[in-house]
Amino acid sequence: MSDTTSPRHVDGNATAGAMTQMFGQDLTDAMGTCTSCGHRAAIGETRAYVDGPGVTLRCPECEDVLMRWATTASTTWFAMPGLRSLEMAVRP
Amino acid sequence: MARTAILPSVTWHGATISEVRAESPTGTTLRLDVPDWPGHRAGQHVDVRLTAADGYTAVRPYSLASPGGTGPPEITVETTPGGEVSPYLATTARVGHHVEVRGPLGNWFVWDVSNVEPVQLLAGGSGIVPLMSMLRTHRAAAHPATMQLLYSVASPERAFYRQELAELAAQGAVTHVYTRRAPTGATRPAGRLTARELHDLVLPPSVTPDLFVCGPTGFVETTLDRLVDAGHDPARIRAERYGERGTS
Repeated sequence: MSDTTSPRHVDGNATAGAMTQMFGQDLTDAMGTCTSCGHRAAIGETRAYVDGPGVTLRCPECEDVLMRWATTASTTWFAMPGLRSLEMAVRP
Repeated sequence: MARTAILPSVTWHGATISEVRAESPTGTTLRLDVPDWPGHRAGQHVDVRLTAADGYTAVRPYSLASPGGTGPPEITVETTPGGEVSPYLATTARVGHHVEVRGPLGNWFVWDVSNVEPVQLLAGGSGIVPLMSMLRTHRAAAHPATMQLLYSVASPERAFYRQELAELAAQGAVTHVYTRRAPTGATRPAGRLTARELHDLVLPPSVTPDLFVCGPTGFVETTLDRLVDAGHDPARIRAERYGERGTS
């Protein structure tokens, strides 16, 4: 779908379970900075496109792709093409 | 670690449906009996996994409606026509049926009783669910901060939690706005929330409320724009978009 402003996205919030599975930690309150525009947002605030075979998280400001992943029965493929940094809370 | 510490759990847990309550013609609340449930924070969700006889699985996130704490978790599911998971949960699931859940999940769209700022909740349709958890948590704690809800819903029949919200509405804490059909005798004709109404019915920026907005993506986007236009600090607004009629 080329129209990235289409209303088919949900929030990064909805991917908390999948991200916890990948990273062992809930990242929805982690703050990410977009490489493209420098916007800083919680992962829970990003635009999550979840209707495809994988998941794409886009910057809520400029809509560039921050993260992408897809999981098969044996493998998770994960990429962070547009994420300059990620700040995660240290949990006890 | 104390049992009340809420750590993310990636493990799938077997859950037994222990209570089923109809909220509306299309919405159903399910109480889940989850062994060793660690408790949740208001606003969090769980992922629910259904597995077909051939091994095909479908996973969907559902907000928790029950108050934060260690009580049994409840979700409220609205049927999405043609969906893979919601029609089963909303219309077919019965007491004693088994599903799998993981959670509680999400640390962003949450309200804790330690927050002392006034709170404005804005719900569109089934977006009421996580906000109801916040209202119930607030009420159970007899919390001193102001918390009020603006609930935009198609018609009186489509509204969830009618009895509870009617009690809160009588206290002035809840305002309903009907978008398709208003109740008999209503002074406001049915229609979408206007910018003016949003201004009049929401706590003003001067009292620096925390704002939680949840609903279909279109409702959330419009509401966020108007709240910022009205002078609310974007840093105080948290949103959760449910998408539109998707494949849930």
